Amino acid sequence: MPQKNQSSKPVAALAAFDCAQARVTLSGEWSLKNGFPAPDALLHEIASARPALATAAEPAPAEVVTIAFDCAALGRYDSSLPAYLHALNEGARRGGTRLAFAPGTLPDTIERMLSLATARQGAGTPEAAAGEALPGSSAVPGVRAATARHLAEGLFCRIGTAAARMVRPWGDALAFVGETMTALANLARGRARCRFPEFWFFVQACGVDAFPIIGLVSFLTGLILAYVGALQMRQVGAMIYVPGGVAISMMREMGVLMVAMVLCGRTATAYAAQLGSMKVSEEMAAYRSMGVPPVEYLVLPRILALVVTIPFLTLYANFFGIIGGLFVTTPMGVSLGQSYNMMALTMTLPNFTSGLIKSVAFAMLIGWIGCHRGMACGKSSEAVGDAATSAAVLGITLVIVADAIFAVLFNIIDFF
Amino acid sequence: MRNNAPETGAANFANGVPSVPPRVAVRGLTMSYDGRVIMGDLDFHVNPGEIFVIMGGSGCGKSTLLRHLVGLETPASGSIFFNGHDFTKATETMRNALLRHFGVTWQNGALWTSLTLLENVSLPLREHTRLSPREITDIARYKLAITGLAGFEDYMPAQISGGMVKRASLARALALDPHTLFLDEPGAGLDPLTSRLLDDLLLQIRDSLGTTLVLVTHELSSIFAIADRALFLDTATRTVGGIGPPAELRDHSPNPRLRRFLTRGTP
Repeated sequence: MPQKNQSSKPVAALAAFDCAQARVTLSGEWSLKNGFPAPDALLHEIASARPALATAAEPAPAEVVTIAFDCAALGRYDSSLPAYLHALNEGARRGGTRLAFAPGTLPDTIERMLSLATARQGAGTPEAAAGEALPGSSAVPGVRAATARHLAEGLFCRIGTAAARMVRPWGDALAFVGETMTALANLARGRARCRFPEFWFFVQACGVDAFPIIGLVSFLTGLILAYVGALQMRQVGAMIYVPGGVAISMMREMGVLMVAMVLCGRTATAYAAQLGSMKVSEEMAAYRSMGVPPVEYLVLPRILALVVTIPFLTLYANFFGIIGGLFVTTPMGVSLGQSYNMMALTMTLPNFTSGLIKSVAFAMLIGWIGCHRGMACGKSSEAVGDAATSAAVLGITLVIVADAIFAVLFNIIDFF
Repeated sequence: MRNNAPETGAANFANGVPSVPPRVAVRGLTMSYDGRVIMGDLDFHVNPGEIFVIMGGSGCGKSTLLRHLVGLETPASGSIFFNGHDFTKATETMRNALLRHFGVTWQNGALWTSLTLLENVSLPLREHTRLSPREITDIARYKLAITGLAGFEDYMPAQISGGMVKRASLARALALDPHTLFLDEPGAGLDPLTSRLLDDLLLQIRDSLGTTLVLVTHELSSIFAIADRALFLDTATRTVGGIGPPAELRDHSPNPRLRRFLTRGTP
């Protein structure tokens, strides 16, 4: 690009208009960093400067306006200048006018850059491309393993390499925790590049779309709990305690656990498969090679969507579980009024909130595992399947471990 | 077919020594995977405004070398200099500043599938500039027009053909006016005509914008059509098997494997 020592705002101004020819002065520094003026302003200037053409009795269907540029005061420029001229052309075309740039009045480089865009205009129409072939297959070159020479020779080196290889996944997992935490901190400071349209999409996918399955599973869980409770309580004539027992079980444990299980199977696997596929198709590499952190773009909206939706899903699951319990206890002689009174006694703050507190922690865990398995995925379709499977298995296991830790913690702080 | 390098990028040589610093310089690079050396002792440079091809048989490590060049892999040893800056030892900030000058296209395009073509090209501009949405849209539309995709701005990557995906990927790589464009197998999976049109487009981009192009390919027609110089990765010796203008390598290289590669195995 030509270099001139001038630093000022980019300006495109109409200097004169005569005989369907406009003289436009380009000046200042045109850079992607500084931005550039709206082409509409110049188009408007040109339109208002040609009353004779506008009032002509029979205007041509496509008027041609020639623009001669004066670039004497033009400073440094990059592709923002041809982008501006291209947009100018497009704007005029939409208004029914064709612009012709007088040859030799623009710098050579600009003319060549513009001709690149205009020369390919025809080839770019949907009709012209209709006959193009669909994507062909691509192969990822493998690495010659068997015949390769070893960097690390000798027994100790090999043991060390093997040990390092075993430890590496844990290191990667910790690094991912760190990256996620940094991204969350950036988000809290308003500096993260989280895509909110995607966030709402994931709220829909992992929250709203999961209502039917969570409703069914929770209803049946409440029903089963009531049957199991009734087996014992009926023998001592304490059936009246069953609805309360079901309510406590759902609110403290089963509601949130059922939601977490469904989300592990539904959402964690989906996250792992989505991100794994993006890794296979090099989309992840494309983010990294452009200096865009994929964690902020891809992981944050997914985890946040889970964190926001899971408390609502838990409340919803609790409600359906309790309804399921009532379907058992009411025919067994406990009236709805008695059930309501007994359940009201169990609705203490610790009982009500413990499930909700756990739900947020489980959401972080499920989202993190799903995304991590996807980001750590290999580069084959088989690896994507493995990533999804491991996300489900690891998710369920860690949710149960976390639930046990919560049980111990709540016991220690007497949160009952 | 080959054009002269533009005045902005051509490197002048005196006694075989470039008078301008190379755009990319690789010194003693060794690439490894899982403890095994893929290629070792790689030494070469790419001059500004040059079309430089990395070639070799399938699986020889061409794409891996490209990933090293753009900082996605860490070398086992050696250094990669970009405009004189050691990319391998750069801090995170420095690295991101250097990445700003790279454009990369991947073997299968690697467009972000949840975004339209316009959004794909706009994203780097949104990330690395402070332009207004209107300005970003204008520039993205222009870059798509350069690559012959005017009219497809609102299409999703899944709705367009393989050749168009490659061109959209090129438009995205050009978004920030990179000094250097890295292309991984740009012609792979394309029919000969589309592949030829893509070669022409790459030449036009180099000639119009002065961009340095580093291509990974093993398509001989493309290599002879557009490369100023080519580097051959030799799987037998696991290092550079020859470097120079492709026609010269084909006719005069002392490496028989390289000559066979460039003549499709004919003597």
